[in-house]
Amino acid sequence: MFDVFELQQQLVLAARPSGSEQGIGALIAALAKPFCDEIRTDALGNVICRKAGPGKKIMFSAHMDVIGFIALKADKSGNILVDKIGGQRAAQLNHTPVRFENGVRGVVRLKTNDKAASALGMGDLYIDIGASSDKEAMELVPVGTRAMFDTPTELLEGGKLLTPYADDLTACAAQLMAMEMVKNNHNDLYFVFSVQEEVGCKGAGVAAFGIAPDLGVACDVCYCADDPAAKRDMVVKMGQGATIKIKDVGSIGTPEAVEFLRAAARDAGESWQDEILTGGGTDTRTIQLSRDGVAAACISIPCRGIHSPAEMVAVSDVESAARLMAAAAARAL
Amino acid sequence: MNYFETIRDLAKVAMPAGFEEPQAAAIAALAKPWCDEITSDIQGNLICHKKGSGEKIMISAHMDVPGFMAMVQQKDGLVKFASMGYKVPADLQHCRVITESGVTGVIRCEFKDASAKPSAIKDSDLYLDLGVSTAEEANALAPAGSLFRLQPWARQLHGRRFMTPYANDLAGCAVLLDVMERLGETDYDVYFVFSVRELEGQTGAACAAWQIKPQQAIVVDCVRTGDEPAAPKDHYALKMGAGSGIKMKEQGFLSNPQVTLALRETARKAGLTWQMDIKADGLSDASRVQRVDGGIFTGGVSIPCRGEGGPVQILDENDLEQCANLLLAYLED
Repeated sequence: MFDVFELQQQLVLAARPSGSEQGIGALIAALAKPFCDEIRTDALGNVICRKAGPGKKIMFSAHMDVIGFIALKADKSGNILVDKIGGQRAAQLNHTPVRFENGVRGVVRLKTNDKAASALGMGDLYIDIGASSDKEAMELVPVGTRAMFDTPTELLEGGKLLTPYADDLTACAAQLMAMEMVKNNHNDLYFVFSVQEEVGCKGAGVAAFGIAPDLGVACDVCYCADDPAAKRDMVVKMGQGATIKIKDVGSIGTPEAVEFLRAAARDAGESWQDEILTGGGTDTRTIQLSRDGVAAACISIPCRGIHSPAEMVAVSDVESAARLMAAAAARAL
Repeated sequence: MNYFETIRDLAKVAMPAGFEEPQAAAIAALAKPWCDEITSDIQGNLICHKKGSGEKIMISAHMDVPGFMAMVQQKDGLVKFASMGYKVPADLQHCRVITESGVTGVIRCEFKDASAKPSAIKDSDLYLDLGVSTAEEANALAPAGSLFRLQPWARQLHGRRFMTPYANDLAGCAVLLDVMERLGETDYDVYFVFSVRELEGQTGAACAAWQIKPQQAIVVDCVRTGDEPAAPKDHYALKMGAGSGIKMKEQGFLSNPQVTLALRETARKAGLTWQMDIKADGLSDASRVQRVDGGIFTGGVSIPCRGEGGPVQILDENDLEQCANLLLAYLED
């Protein structure tokens, strides 16, 4: 049985920003292998794990890319100027330790605090790697080198995880756990670990096109009402179980799909929270819009501090998401 | 001396102002072989005496570090706290902390709206998030009056540079230890003082000076550099990697020329790299030490530190070495 904390630590080490998912894709394929009949990686890098069944096709999808940075150039003093990969919020990044993919370490510095948070962008920050000249810096961090948050993954009192990348590696963990739980499935199951969600939900869309599922279920994190850094008008709370999404900014769950997830949960004796996400979209949208349309819904893990280097989720919510997915996978469609 | 390891190890035990016993014990153990007598006074200052026949000189560095004190547990499980020793509240958002009983948490900043400037964030906008949801749970982990602090860590950057939340002023303590270890023949009667409570009221060093009554005092402290884009412009003369700083001026304090001129002369004669430390703001132990008794000739040796006053501070081991070399040359001259 997978342990959420151990799995998350492994996934965080392998994770790279959108577009560079090869390493984590290989790791996930190796972890998934015992629990599926067939694994393939498509042209974009989506890892598609099939657990074959005679029934209809259900596609589950959690994205394995994370937000990060990409090196543009160095200034004269040896600071690295970067662009963002994914939804970085400059106003919350000051003093964040980062690690470039080649192992070089540094810290994000904001040049000014005196601008509206919404106006602060990547041009207002840089990464100090300890270099003293542009030449030295560019040798250490060539153009195009990616960087990730370099904060630890920790298990807190009361079973919470503090980690740079709950989004969406905890959903990847939940999906692996669901694969492990499902036995003797009637449905034809596809567990997709998608790429490039953070830059426009690209991977899940092409995966859905290839699979042509009868039902799509994304798994991602969502804001919660008890996060002071988000302050959302939502009922969702961390630690109260995974959610079944009704709506987010990019999609409205297909009513039949939402009801299918609820019925599966009810029959399995699992509780859930009702989620309407007022900020951000998920792979649900691109799955739903694939081909001539796919019934799609989403299971979410409540998360405090989304897109910060200290995202927090409850281990029990990750396990709950895994059980909800497993219940849906086992229910005849 | 391996400055990186010494500072990293001291950071593991260092506590905020008023609670310095753990780092005092660690420093006393390191200092023991290199001095004749170690005492501690009422406030907790650690005074290491290396006896000499000449005039008394006090060389001090403060061993207290910044931290936080829990104040009120809210019904949602978040904890209001008092911040001690940090300059910019916005710097602390999403920083990982550890309580005195070893519990991990994270500092969250209450979201206002996207047009708010990070510079407008106040201490009262910050909360300790322990991952719990009730006041009772929070009270069990961080009761009112309990301390917490940033997680201690240290990471090497390029060259001889490294970053840690605890440069200020464990770097000064490391420099003093290095000087003690390498000190040869000197006429001075030397008192190395590891002072308490610098970050809350500059209480410690002045009390030590009153007891020792030295003819002159040199305060060794970390000072923010002005050579990075994130530094406030025109306020900080120091450059990272450009050697020791000889303090000329800070807010409310002017070094006695008798000390600065002698330090500069020493640096010139010994062929050391040094720079002038002149700044409009900032406060060290120097100002209060200078006013003790009938007055003490007081100067400072400043360690260039990027991000001083914030949660991630960068040092260059070459600078630390230059500071120690300057003090050694001064004492042995």
